[in-house]
Amino acid sequence: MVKFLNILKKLIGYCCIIIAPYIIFKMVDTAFDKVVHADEINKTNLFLQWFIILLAFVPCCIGLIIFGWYAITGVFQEENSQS
Amino acid sequence: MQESPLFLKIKETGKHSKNPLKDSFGKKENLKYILLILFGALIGEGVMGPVGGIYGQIFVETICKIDFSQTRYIILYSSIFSMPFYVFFGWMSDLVGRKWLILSAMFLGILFYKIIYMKIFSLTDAKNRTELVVHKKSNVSCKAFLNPKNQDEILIETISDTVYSDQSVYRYTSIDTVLLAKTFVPPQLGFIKINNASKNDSFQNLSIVKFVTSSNIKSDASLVLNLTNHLVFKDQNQTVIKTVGSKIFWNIVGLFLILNIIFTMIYGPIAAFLVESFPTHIRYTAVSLPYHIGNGIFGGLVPFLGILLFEMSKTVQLPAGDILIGLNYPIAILSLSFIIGLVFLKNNKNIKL
Repeated sequence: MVKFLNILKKLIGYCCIIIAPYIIFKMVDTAFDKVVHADEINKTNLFLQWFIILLAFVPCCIGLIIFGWYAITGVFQEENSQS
Repeated sequence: MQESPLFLKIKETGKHSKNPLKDSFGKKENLKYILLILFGALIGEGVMGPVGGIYGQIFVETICKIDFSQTRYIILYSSIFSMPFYVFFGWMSDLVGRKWLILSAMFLGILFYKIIYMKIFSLTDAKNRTELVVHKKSNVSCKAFLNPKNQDEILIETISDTVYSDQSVYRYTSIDTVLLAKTFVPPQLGFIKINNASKNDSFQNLSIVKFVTSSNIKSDASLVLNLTNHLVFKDQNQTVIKTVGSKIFWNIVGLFLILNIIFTMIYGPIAAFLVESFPTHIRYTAVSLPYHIGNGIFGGLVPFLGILLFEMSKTVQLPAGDILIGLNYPIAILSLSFIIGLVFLKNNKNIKL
């Protein structure tokens, strides 16, 4: 069971490392698309909205990458096998 | 207020952290727990709060179109009735452990959020109503005015009520935008005069839009031209405000109560769970960051992103938008948190601090 959990943790770690950059890319892409194609009146508002979203979520995604890296390198596995 | 006995004890022995920020985030053995608690529990908890609260209020008011004051009462009653459950689930977590209650709440949220929101919408949707229409009172009021943004347009506002047998009243406000036809050539200099109208079905019947020559503004009726035949219909914009009957009102309160009970299932044990997750010397610093990121950023953006997704879902094929798409964000976050929590979290039970 512990072995299975350890493999699962590694797999989730890989998923986090793949998902987090994808989320950043997708958000930047959507933000760019929305702001560029907005009319002049809405441009400033949209820019501000997406700037706030990116400012909040990019560090969280970086945190998810670090979490994924820890999971892959077995940081959480040691804890599990000790307990 | 006093410091906790445990904190005072380690302070007396000099074992407290001299630099809690560095100890919390600079050391791998602490940072890994901070990230685990953030992604395995707190982002899920963060998005669950607004789904039963502020996002629910926005959904009921802007998408279901329920009256302002009724919306507040729905949220108020469901919040009050859910209060004992915070204590109940806190007590229950002492018996079964924190992890399984937290994960159960997330799982129920993933399963039932869309079903409950769809039920709330269908309860108020005029198309789904089985109650009889007692009467339709058209033209509660009718008035016309020049469009303040475009002086070439005339706006004609008509309000009508539909009253159902369960005492629900749906008030429809229709605004017709009409233009003065280009074929109309005024005989002399003058201006458009609009009087308040009443008891007229549509702009075709209006005799209120008149052209008044500048030299005879005051009272000479013979110089007032009726412009009704020179008006061209442009578009119509209809909105509705629903005041629901007591049966539907309490049904919606009940559905919100379910949402809030699911939330209490995660919120009841979370404080004890967080305290048990970190050692005393860095506890508050370590708890604070993931808690505020989870609630402030992930939870705080639920209404904003929900509305943004809803607005983005409006297309030419689907002009009304996808009403449930705003829930995709909290459900996606809950799913991520559920998987991480299920695999990585330990079940805290009877832990000595």
